[in-house]
Amino acid sequence: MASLESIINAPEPSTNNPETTSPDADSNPNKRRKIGHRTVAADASLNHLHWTSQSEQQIYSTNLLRTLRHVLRRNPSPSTTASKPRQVRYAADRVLAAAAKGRTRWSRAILSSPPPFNNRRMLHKKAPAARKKVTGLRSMRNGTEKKKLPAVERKTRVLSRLVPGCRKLSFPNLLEEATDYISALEMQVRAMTALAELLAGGGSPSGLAGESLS
Amino acid sequence: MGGHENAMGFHHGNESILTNNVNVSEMDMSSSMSLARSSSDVVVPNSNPFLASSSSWDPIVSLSQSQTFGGSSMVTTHNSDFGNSSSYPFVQYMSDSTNLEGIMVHKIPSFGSGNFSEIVGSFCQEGSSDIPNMGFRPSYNHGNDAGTERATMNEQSQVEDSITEDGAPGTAPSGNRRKRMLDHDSSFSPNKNAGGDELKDSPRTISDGAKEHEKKAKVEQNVSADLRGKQPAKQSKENSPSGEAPKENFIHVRARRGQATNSHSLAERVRREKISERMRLLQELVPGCNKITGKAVMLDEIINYVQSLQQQVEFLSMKLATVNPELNFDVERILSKEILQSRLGHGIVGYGVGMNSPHPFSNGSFQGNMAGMPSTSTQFPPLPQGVLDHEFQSLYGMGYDPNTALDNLGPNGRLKTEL
Repeated sequence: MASLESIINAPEPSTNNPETTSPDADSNPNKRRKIGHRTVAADASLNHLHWTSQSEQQIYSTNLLRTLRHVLRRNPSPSTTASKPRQVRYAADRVLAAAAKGRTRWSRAILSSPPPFNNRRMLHKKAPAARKKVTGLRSMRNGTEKKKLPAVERKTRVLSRLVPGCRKLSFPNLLEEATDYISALEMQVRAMTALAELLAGGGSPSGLAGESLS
Repeated sequence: MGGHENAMGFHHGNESILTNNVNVSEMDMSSSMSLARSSSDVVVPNSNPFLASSSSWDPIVSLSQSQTFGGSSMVTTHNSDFGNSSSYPFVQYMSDSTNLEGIMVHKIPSFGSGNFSEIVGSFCQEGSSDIPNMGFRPSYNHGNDAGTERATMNEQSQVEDSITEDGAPGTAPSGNRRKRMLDHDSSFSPNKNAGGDELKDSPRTISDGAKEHEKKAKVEQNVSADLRGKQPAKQSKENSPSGEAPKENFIHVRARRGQATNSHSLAERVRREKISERMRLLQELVPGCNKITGKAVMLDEIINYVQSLQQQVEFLSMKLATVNPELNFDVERILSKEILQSRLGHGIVGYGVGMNSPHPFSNGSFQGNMAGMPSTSTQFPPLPQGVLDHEFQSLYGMGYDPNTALDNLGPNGRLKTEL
């Protein structure tokens, strides 16, 4: 891995490229978009299978362990605080996103998101404000008329919120990103399960053989 | 000199072709080829002083004119530009049109002086001409599962059409004719701007919900309207002339037999197929979605699955936060070996310590890591370098014996660990 600290600490200002990945795309803005679509399609369709490979999981587990050590070394507080799991989660997500090698939007979005802020006051202040805004709109809508977006659109929106960095994505691209994201998440779960089993269980290798892996 | 000017002009033509060429539209191909063809006549005689034998170029000229290789004429001008004796093999290969791409690949290193972009450009075109799936198009063809979509467009599309088209004997020739007619119209029309505008507009037509551009594009060109196109019954686009727009973008859609050939419906069909293809992929990923048909329910399942995965990650991170990783230095070793053991039949051996090069790396899953493996038998492969920090090495030194843990590895007994 390039540098652990960079992964854990500072979110690198990764330029969120528009979907272009090909080098020849600079010529024509219209073509650029299409090139981006197609190359993203091709890449994503390749990528979402590459999360299933054993080597990927290996790499991820290894890097995750290293970053885990860093995080936990840095923060030797008792495990009752809520910030440690959050930091662990943050680190795990970042390692996962780094393993994506920047080819997908969600990975870039994860890498460019700020680290979790542990100040409790700020959190309380932020959340209700956000909620207020949303409910305000909703109550207005219910008062005037019940305007329901089509079901598919609603769900699309929910999905776009779930996949990081995909809020304003077109539907097919959103599906692509979701595919890759799901594969990556599955791998993350597999790796973390194995790791947790090893670290917390601490049994013999023969005992754990084949057991912890789904 | 006129010849030089033409060569220069062709240079510009090359570059314009290159810039337009990454997603080659048929317009560009045809226009560039027309350019090429028109200029190749003039260029070739002037290339004589550069070449060893002038007569050797004749087959090329005739080739470029008889065939519809834009690339061949590109090659001629390339050779006229560089003018080295390496043009000879071109002559010999030229007769075999299918080798053209191989030629370009072969010849790229010989073109030492710059202008790599030109080579790339001609390579692009080469790839597009005869061999549908080569060159810079593989990405398109990967995505185009449906038989109606094709990424290669040039005037040899007739060959490909007959090959790639599945069940559309009726509409295929008509589509061909229509398309080529329109190509000719557009390419040889005096106002190439119309084609250029189409170019600008029509790529957007395939985009989701950008049908109005399509209408614009259709209005611009003089489409030979509904030859055999059936009016879409359900297509409620009002001012759509019923001809089909030749898809002057890089995704060629062919109306299947019995389907509406309205450009709107075609574009929508492309879009629907893209979406359904991705939904299919997702269906395979998300467990238990084999029987689900319908986007809404499918989306529900996807959302639930993503949420559950994220919750699992959350839970696992909480669990991992409580463990103390400092104690288990051998964790990684165990981790790697256990995973290997459970996943693979044969033993990937001495994984954390030392590797012998030969056969275990035929396993496909490691090829990503161990690209340079066979050459470095004494050097640790990249993944174990991640495993073995320097701290590990200092801790373990050479006295570490992993064999105890490795005894239960698979039947493959080649446990040659380099210690």
